[in-house]
Amino acid sequence: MIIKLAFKELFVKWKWSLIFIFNLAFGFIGFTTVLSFQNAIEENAKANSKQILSADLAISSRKKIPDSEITKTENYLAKNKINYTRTKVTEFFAMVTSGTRSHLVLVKAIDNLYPLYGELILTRSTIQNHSPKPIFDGPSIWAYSELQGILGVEIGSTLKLGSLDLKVDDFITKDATQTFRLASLAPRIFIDSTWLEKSKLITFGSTFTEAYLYKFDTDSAANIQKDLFALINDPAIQIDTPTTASEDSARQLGFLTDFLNLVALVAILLAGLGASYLYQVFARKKVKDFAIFKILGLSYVSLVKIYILQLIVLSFLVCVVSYIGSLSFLPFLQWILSSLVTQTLDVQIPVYVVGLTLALTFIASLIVVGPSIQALNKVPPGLLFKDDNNEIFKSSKNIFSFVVALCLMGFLTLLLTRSLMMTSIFIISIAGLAALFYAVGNGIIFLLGKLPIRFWVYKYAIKSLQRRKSTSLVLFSTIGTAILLLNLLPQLKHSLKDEFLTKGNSQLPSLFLFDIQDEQIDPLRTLIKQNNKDISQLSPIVRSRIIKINDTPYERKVDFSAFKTREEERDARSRNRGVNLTYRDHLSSSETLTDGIPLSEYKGELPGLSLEERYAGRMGIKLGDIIEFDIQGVEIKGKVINFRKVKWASFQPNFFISFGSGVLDDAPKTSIGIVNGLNDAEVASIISQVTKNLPNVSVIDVRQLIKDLLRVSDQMTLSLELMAYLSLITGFIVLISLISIQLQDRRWEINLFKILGSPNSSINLNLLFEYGVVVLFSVVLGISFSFLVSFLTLKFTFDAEFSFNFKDSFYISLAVILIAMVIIQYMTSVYLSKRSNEILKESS
Amino acid sequence: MIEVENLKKSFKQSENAIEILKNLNLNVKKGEKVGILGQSGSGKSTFLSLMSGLDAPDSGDIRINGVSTTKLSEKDWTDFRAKNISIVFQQYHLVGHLTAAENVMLPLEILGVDEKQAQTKALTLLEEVGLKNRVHHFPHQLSGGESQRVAIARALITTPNLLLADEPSGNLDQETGQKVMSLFFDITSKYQTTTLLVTHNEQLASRCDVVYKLSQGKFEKL
Repeated sequence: MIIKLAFKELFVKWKWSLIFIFNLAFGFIGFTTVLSFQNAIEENAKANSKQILSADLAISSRKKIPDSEITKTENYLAKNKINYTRTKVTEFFAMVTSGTRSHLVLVKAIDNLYPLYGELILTRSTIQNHSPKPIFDGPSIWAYSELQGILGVEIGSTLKLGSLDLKVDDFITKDATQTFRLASLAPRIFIDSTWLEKSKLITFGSTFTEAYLYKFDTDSAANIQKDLFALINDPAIQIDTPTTASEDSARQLGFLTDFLNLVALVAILLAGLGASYLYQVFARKKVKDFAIFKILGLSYVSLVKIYILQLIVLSFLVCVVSYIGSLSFLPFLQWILSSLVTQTLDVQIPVYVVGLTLALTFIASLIVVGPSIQALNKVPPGLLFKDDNNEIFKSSKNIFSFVVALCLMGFLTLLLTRSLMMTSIFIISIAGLAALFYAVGNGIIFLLGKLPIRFWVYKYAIKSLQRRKSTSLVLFSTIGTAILLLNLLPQLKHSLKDEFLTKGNSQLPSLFLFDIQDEQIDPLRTLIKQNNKDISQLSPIVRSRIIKINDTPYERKVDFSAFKTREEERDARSRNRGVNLTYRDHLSSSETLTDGIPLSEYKGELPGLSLEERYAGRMGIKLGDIIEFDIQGVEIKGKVINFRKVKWASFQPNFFISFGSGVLDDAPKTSIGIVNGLNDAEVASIISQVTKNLPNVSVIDVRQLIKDLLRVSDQMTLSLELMAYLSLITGFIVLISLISIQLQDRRWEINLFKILGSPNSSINLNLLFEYGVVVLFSVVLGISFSFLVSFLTLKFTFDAEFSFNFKDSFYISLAVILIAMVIIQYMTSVYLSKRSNEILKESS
Repeated sequence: MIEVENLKKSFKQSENAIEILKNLNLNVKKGEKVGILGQSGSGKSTFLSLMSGLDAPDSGDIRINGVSTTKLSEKDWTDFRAKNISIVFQQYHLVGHLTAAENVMLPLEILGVDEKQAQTKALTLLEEVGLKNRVHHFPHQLSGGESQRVAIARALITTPNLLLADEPSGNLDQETGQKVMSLFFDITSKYQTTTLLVTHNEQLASRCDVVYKLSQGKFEKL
């Protein structure tokens, strides 16, 4: 009987069921799509993990790895009778030149055994472990194909790298170690490592990464990694397996998928808000049925069983619709992101995503429906027969639902982004925005009520808004939030472009020079002077490692647990990697002192330290703390005496940690500096001169770099915009559902207006005005809040200035208002076309 | 005042046409109260729908104050109804988000009467129906009897030429129903409103000036 009753109601009320299903399903389409895409990236990285690392195990460091550590490793392998093949790779940034053109590249110096796994696909051949490698036959290279366009070179052309003239043997079209194009701002070139010494590019103090790659005859890389972590104490030495390498690789797109997930979660929240309202309307209508069932002797438990069964059916159908929606939506997302992913992804909707969606739709439905069902049980059947049952569904229940929904959102955000910080910011933002929408929406409705409008068409539209406040506020919030998301991205993009490309032209440096050896400083100054410019903000850079904070060892953190938050991962990475120090007494133009005293005024016993405030916050370091560093084997202590705020987007030489002058003067170091105020011709000329005369100094064309970064960010934001549009569609579906349900509910009121003699045009105007006001103010609120959120994001994340992008906001607003009005007009005309007599019969 | 001539109306049920009203004729003088009795399904409500222009007859004519309403377009009917006809329903049909006063004012405001004027008249009428203290209450805050009194006040605010009442006490208990109907007769007499009262309550119908029984699609004068 329970099954019959449950299905019968859904079947008879099929229109309502469909609206409910589509409402929630649209919210879940984005979620299912992004999760499937994320899964494809991770699966691809896992499947290609050995190729990505090109080894079973890699021991690497951003300095020369002592021979003793390699001996220790190989003794361990011999002791455990593990046969291995070893290859060594050295990576560093350098400039290559062809004719008058120069460009920054990442040089990979390899030996004849590279790659241990995977392959390099060249235009004429494929290079594997035992393939013949022509670059070992003479001074030649393989280069990423991008260099063809950048330097105008062909196969057989000669490139200058340091003191070497190298022939281009072939171009690489696919490199198995590179999964994503995000990091390809400096294209790679591969050379025979024996040429490294001859190039004289790596000297004492140079920045480079050294890696020993191992291929084993056993499959126990994870155990070997654990044992080696215990054996090799130097935290600056990293030990990777294919698993950690694939995780690192997938993380490259992590921030993008995180943001995509957040937008998808917002869509779910919007859909949930709409569905919650729909269910309340539904519950109000079934109050009498509930009372009848109760009086007929059906227990509350049986009634709950009916509703739970209905929810299971509805959740299943929501899942099916969102699955079909995702199947249609996935190719768009994949197409948009295809330029960022070098691998061909096999994107399918995995079973676990379907299961998760089903579980979530059920939980979401339960959150939406639970309070209504619970409310019904507490009311005596007699009261349920009363016409007015508004009191049964008090707003406190909605707030409870909202809090439970927020908790679920928090859990999902943490699960998807694995970042406590991102989860906190997201949940606080959602709660804050909900409060803002509620407060401002309430304020607007209150103020509208104060307007001295006498014409009944407008007057009663406003009264309806005031007296059906919960509907008005749900519409305000859903449409407003969707608009906020939609307008936020163009605002951020516009402001960042304005900051970097327009204003930036005068404020940003033209060139960023690094890897400058001490003896190259004077010749470099002279060279720049000859071009009537100066090298400025020349800052020493010293590689170091933190060994103690307040006498507590800052040791390597190795965590093999399955679930690690991003903060834990970052902490582990920062412990395992070194830190760049500088020394100077004054602040640079992009720095501001926020706490403590300037380094120049400090007279203490221990050397003074200045820390970037957010870095200090992440590390939990306070003023007065003592930090001990290892600088090339020498231990130096410093006392934190101030915190600085750094404008990182200025592209000036900036550092997390700075000593005062004098302490590090004798430490092995290189320098970095900038050159300002160059035009395009001067940039090309100086890069060419520097590369020719000081070959191991690397130069970045800052404007070109920013253009490249913005190009990548454009592709990323396009995918986010796509998700934002999905949220907007969800908002529209909520709008359609709510208006449809409301008009159905209000058909008697509309009919009454007709019977009382009001022409259709007046009723139409009344409804258009009522819903139009909601849409208009939602758009205004959404746009205003998007300005506020982008202002705050720019200020606190990029430290950039907000600049208005009125054009995009205007078009978005206009489009949304027009679409919404068309929807409203269509739906009201459907109800107005019904004959009064038919509606009269329905109620008699 | 009202002349109904050879009014016919039938409905299609499957493939058969059921004739609800067969050559109906009726004459009502100005200020007269006509009671129409009939069993459920006899066509009472259909007759009221035709009288109010909410439905169109198959044939025949209805003339109200000399205007042949069967020739009116829907737009003209709306205008004519607003100026000449009011209806009181069994289910009250008050607008849920408007107060008692606002519900009563509504027909006048639709006719373009100034808000202040409409409000003054609504308050007077509400006082007359004994709801002086309930003017700012919403329908869900009113009892059934009070709601119907608001509906009566709303029906009379335009001083209609014809008041159509469809079982106005049908939703009320006997005592409340009697009180409301006493008020209904008092107030319609006071305003000399021509009234067609459809009911199945003979006692109630007997309070009208003329009573007809609608049976098998025809009026029979009682």
